[in-house]
Parts: sequence; structure tokens; C-alpha cells
Amino acid sequence: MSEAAQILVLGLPNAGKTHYGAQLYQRLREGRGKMQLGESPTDLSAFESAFNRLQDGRTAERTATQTYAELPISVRTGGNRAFELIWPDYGGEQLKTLLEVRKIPTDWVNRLSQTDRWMLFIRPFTLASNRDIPQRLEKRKGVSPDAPRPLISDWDDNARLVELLQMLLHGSQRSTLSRLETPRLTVMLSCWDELPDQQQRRSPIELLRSELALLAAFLESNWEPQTFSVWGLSALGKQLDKEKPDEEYLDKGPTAFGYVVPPSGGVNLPDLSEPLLWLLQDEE
Amino acid sequence: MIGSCNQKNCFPDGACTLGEPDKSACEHWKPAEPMGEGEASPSALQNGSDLRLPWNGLVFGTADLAHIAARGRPTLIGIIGAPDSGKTTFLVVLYLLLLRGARPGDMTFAGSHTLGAWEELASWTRPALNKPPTFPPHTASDSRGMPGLLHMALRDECGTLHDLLFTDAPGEWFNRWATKADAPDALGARWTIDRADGCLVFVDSARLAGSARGSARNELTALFHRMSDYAATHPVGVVWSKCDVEVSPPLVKSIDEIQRQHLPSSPTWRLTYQAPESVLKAISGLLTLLRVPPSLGRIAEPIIQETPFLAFRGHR
Repeated sequence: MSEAAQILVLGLPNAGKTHYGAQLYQRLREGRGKMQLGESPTDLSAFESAFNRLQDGRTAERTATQTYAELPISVRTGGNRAFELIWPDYGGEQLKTLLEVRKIPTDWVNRLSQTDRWMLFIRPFTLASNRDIPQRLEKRKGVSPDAPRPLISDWDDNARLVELLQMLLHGSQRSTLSRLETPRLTVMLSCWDELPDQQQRRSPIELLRSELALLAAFLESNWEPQTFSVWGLSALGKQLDKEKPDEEYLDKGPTAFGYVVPPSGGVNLPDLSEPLLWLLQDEE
Repeated sequence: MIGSCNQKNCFPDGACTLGEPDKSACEHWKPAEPMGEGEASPSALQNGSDLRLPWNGLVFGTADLAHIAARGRPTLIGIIGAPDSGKTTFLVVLYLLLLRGARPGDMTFAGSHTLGAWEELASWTRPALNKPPTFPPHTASDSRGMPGLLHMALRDECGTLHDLLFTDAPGEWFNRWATKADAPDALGARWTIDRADGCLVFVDSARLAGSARGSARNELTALFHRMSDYAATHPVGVVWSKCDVEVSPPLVKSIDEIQRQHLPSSPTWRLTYQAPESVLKAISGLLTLLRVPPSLGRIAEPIIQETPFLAFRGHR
């Protein structure tokens, strides 16, 4: 008997959800990590395009906006426990729309309240948080109450991600009055290899604290420490082009590349299933 | 429009005030008239059952307080002072500090339901295309007679959640209130004083250093005097803003004396936005004085003995 472990993968567009899914699945298929593939899933079409492009050493296409498909993957872990991973496949645009229209569709409410394992993808390199407090502010002349209100896309990314998490938690009908024990949360800082060397030397949580401090404070103050963890992720291991195939990828195959950085930092682990194993642990 | 509700404070873009997750299931919800054949888009019809959020991210009015107050008594902090004395800039710098990971009163940021409002204020201080960073604009007066409220939740080291609300009110209200407490246009100032758990009173250093310092001192005296009753029972901090401008020592001394007379137990903080830590120090100082009441926690009934008979606590 396998336990069903539904994982809700969250992330705004271009945060690296598809690359991770595709690379993880190929590794499971080769059986080199701590997590092994059980029976083969029936429908792989969600990953097909990404697989093909990665084989050539090119980046995957963005996932279509409107669809939400679920890909069941049966896996076995070291302790010979069998799980049925339900890997969702959808476009990150859906979450972006949710932020803009400020309404949570009913199927998302169901999904949020029924899953107690969340995986949030954030790509720190592409985010903008202006941490400077200006040393000189110009005097404003006259009253200008009709100045345009900043759109949510112009917000500091810290605030945008906090608002997204607040909305998702509200949608999942969970309150932050006491620290959260569910959902168990893994934050994946994707495209770790893009970051400057100096930042890569830090542990993922330290990086989050320094680069997205408001978000880090929100996570640390609302989750029980043992129920959330922050990982670095480089699903591809190096930067790939959209069109030009990568020679090394062609020679060695995509599974030779990619790593995760554990919460304590310091090492690159080639086994991409490590964060999932953490997520699948039972709550103490 | 997809429908409407006849209940007070139930807004079309907000959540159901009676707590119905699906608004269309509420008895007071009136669906919109069908627009005629072929006009109604399927997505518009579906929208009625989508979950709406009880906050829209903008400044709070009283109607928005219900869902915050449901989890405990929020702490209202009055930001008081003459026009252009730096009240809004103080709030902006506080938010910019939070973005950098600051911990007011040794507590950690745990969320905000007015992030849109904080961002709106902060956007003025960010350089935009061909525009240098500026101070936030003058806070406009609101005819409803209550200040806009900015929300911030903080969690202390014991894991307890505290909801803070900051008033963002135009300074004219307080000047009017200082001269005539029951003036109709001082309604917002009275609203603040009647409800605030603690206040910060702003002293404008730049004005005290300028040629209008006589009238500035006069206004300040009136304001301190008016605050004295409140300060006898509530924590009040006196904040000298714009301290990069030097005020002549005799004037500082005379203001200090007026403060000692009317607000004898109020601490003084001197701050300037160029040294953001001074802002953090002032707010942390006030939070310590306030000993912020916690939101509701889990009630743990102590077990004194294992006998079921003693578990009976009598009728209330």
C-alpha cells in the first residue's frame, strides 16, 4: 500500500517549477537517488516537451496558463515506504492573476485546504527588493492626492510574495494566530547558480534573510521552525540557452547536471529528491 | 457587477461579513440580473463562488477591522502632530526598515493586511523614471472624520501574535483639536485620542529652527496641554523629527520644560530619516511602554489533580 502524498507546487511564472519537475523525474527514472520510481506513471505528456528540450541542452518552454493537470508519480524511499506523489502541472500565471484579481477560484481553495505539503519556488536573482533607505528626499511641492496607486507588479517583491502567501493561507483556511504546523513548507531558491559567488557561499536561509528580509521574517514568524525549510536549487546546474543546444548536456545527458543546497548550506547535493524527502517526513 | 448584498459593511469586492465562504450561499446575497442572452460570460458567472479576501490591501477603515479584531484586540497607535511634522515619513521609514528585516520591539514581522497602502507610501521614496525619491505627499483630510489605519502584525519571542494599527491622519486635525477640542473639524483627532492605546507626538525641529518658531512653540504648548489628560493614563512618547536641523538650545530647553509640565512621564526620542535606526528606537520604545496585549492564544486549563470530579468548575 502506498501513502498518498499530495504536494502543492507554488510559484510565480518563471520560478523554475517545470525544470525541477522534469529533472527530478528523469533522475527517479534512472534510480540514482534516495527516492526511486515505483510503477511508471501513465501520462508523461506534461513533462514531455521539457524532457526533449533538456536532452538537447536547451531550456524548457513556459507552461501554458490555463491548465491545471496532476501527474501521479509512485515512488519508494529509503525506508521502503511507498508514496504516490501528485505532481501538479500548471502555469505560474495563475498565481500572478490571483494576486491581481484578489479572488481565489474554488478549485484552488480546495487544493490549498486539502494539501498539507507545499513547495514554494522563488527565483531570488530575478526579484527586486530595494533595501536602500534614501539619504536624500526631495520636498514635494503642493498636494497631490490623485497620484496613481502603484500596481501590484510595481510592489517590492518582498511585499508581493508576503501578500501571495497571506492569500494562499487564507484560501487554505488556516490562521496564523499560532505558528503553523501545517502546511509543511519547503522554499526552493531556484537558479542558485545565477547568484554571485559571495551569495552562494551563504546558507539558503541566510540568503533569504539578507535579500528578501520581509519574506524571511514572515516565514520565520509564522511557521514552526521544524515545519519549514529553505533550500537552494539549481535544476539545470548551469545556464542554458533557449535555442542553442549545450554541448556538455548533449554528451552527458541532463541528469549529470543540477543540484540542491541543503538548509545548512555549504554543499551541493546532486540528489534532487532531498527536499521532497524532507517534505514527506511525518510531522513530529 | 455580479451581485450585491444588503448588509452593512458587506462590499461587492470583499468577503461575506457573515463569514459565508461562498457569497452566493448567503441569504442576503442578491445575484445580479442576468444581462440577457449571450452577454453573460461564463467566467463572470463563476466568479460569485470564488473566495474573496477580507482585506483589499489599502488603508483600513472601521469596517475592515472586524477580521483583525476577531483574533484579538489590536493595539492602536496614534501618530499625532502638526502638518508637515514628519508623521507619514516616520511610517514610511518604519516600513522601509521592515523590508530590511528590522524587528520593532524585538518582535518579528508576521504579516500585514494593508501592504498596498504601505507600498503606496513607500513608492514615493523610490526613484522612478526621471523622478528623484521624494517625501510622501501631504495626508489628505477625510470627510468621514477618522484617520486611515495601517496594519502590521508582529510576533514576539513567546510566539504570540500582536496586531498593531497606526493612524495616518492629517496634521490640521490636531492643530484644530489643540485649540478647540470639540471643533467639528477635529473629529478625527478626537477619534484617535478616544481609541489609541498609545501615542507618539511629533515635534518639528525644522519649524522650531525657522522664523515661525514662535507660533510653532505656541502650537506645541497647546498640543502638549491638550494631551496631558490622555498622557496621565496612556503611554505617550515625544518625538523630535528632522533632527538633522539644529534647534537653538534655549528653545529646546523651554520646550522640554513645557513637556515636563504637561507630559511629565513621556520619554523623548530624537530622530531623522537619515539615521533610520532612530525611527526603530522610537517605535520599539513605545512598544515597550505599551506592553502590547497579545492576540488570543490557546487557553490552557491547568491540570491540578487527575480526579475527574475536580475538573468541574461550576456554573458561570
